[in-house]
Amino acid sequence: MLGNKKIIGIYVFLIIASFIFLLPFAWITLTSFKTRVETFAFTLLFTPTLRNYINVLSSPFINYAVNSLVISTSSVLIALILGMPAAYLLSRYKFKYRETLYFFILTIRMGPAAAFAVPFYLLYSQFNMLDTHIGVILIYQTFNLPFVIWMLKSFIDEVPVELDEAAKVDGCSVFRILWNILLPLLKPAIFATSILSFIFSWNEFFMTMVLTSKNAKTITVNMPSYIGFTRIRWEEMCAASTLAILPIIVFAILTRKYLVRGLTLGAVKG
Amino acid sequence: MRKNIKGSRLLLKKDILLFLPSLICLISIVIYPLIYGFYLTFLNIETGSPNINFIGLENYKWMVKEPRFLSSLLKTLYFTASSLCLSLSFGLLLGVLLSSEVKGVEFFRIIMVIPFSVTPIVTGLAFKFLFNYDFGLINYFLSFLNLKTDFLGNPNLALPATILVDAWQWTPFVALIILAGMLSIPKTYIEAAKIDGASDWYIFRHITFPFLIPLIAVIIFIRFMDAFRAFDVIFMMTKGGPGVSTEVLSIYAWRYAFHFFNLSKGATIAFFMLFFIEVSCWFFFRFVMRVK
Repeated sequence: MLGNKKIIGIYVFLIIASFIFLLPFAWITLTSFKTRVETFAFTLLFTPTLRNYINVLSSPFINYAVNSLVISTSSVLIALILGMPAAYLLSRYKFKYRETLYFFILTIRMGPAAAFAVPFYLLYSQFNMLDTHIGVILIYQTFNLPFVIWMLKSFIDEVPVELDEAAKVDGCSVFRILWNILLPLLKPAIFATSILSFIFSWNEFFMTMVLTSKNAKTITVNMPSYIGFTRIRWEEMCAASTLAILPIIVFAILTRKYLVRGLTLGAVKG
Repeated sequence: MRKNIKGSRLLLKKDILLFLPSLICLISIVIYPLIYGFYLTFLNIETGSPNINFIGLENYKWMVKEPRFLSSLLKTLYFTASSLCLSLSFGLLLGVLLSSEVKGVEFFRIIMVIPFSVTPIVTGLAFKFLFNYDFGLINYFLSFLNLKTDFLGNPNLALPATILVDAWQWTPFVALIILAGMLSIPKTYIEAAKIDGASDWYIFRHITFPFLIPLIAVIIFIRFMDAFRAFDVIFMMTKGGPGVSTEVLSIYAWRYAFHFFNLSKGATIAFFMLFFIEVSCWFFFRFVMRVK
């Protein structure tokens, strides 16, 4: 058992650490309720105002939030539909170059965004797809699809193969095995994978910044626009930031059991 | 990686139809643009310029001779190594403490998922705000000590500041991996050692730590990849400035491709990064993962 002194030491350390890790977000949330003048003061005593939120929500910010939602959700759905069969293929079948394909899928996700942004930018300008929702949804597949394949593969690996074998003996097609056996079984895993993909899509910045200008702009790409040439609209920026990270914090806490596994691509089963 | 999964089968022709759409999309959305992008590094495409020629390895020759590229590479390695060391050492400590069975520790574990999952752009903004010279919280506290400093405006301090933020962002992530490892250590080992009168440090050094080594290898690998291509937070805090002091490779590639409009040179830098990452990945899997 731990001694009393040690327990106090652990608490002190953990409280200081939590304070350090929450401070930046707590501070911008606090600032988002201040008036412009109060932004520059360090007081904790002020009358909270919702004006910044009203300003932000009556600006095009709301369009960008809708864009983020639409693009992230569709991108995740497409990645799931395409990724599930591929994950099954990688998990259950033996074929030439399987390991190479597997390795390649992992490394694609680790690649720099610029390696995709440049060719996509040129391709989209040829096909008039710059600043379209579908364009952004497609480029998000470059990280969502590998992620979904990799995650689902690691989950399918854990399902005993005897289950598919039995179904096969009973005359199930591969599609039926996927749809009627694995899908219900992997529901929590698929749910967690989609939430994580959603977080990655929502957070994406580089590719979207390069490929959009107005119509398909997302919430993250809009963020720097509060930094003007003459001054920075801190108070509105803080309100917009708070709104942008709120769903992500909720989702991250909901899927925290899978978060580490997802970010280590299945290497650590937290 | 498991080599032989039980019950692995050969691909049947009639099943291929199910996988075909998925593979076609993977090839056309992910692999084709990559190949096209690689092809671009042998051209001289500039936005708005009609002359497009095949120039062979000229872009690569330009890159290795360009002092700005070399200094950017050094900055990237410096950024990666420092951020890795900081987040690994603090993360190890934090992870071990998070694994102690005290009341309410779950609450602290929940908090730790926030820093690395929150939108990095917002993290960058929050720190830009905190580091601000006139009304940033950090300088407010430093002003009592007469140490007020313009961190992001000083070429010598801007890079360390971004490193601190990157380490801040990923320390909890390292801690949670360590926590997962700590929780998987069989309790009987530690209890047996305690009965034999082993000290805490002895238990950590000879039981806990050897268990954590494979996880530390994974952490080093993943943190290396992530820090090497870090963009969002640096972009938001400094945009590579002041001057070129925080211009790591990802920022440099962005500047060339979309700021100076030289898409081919931007692509060349991005593909250099990709090769570097591919080789490191290969090395890691070939030597580190097999040896463990």
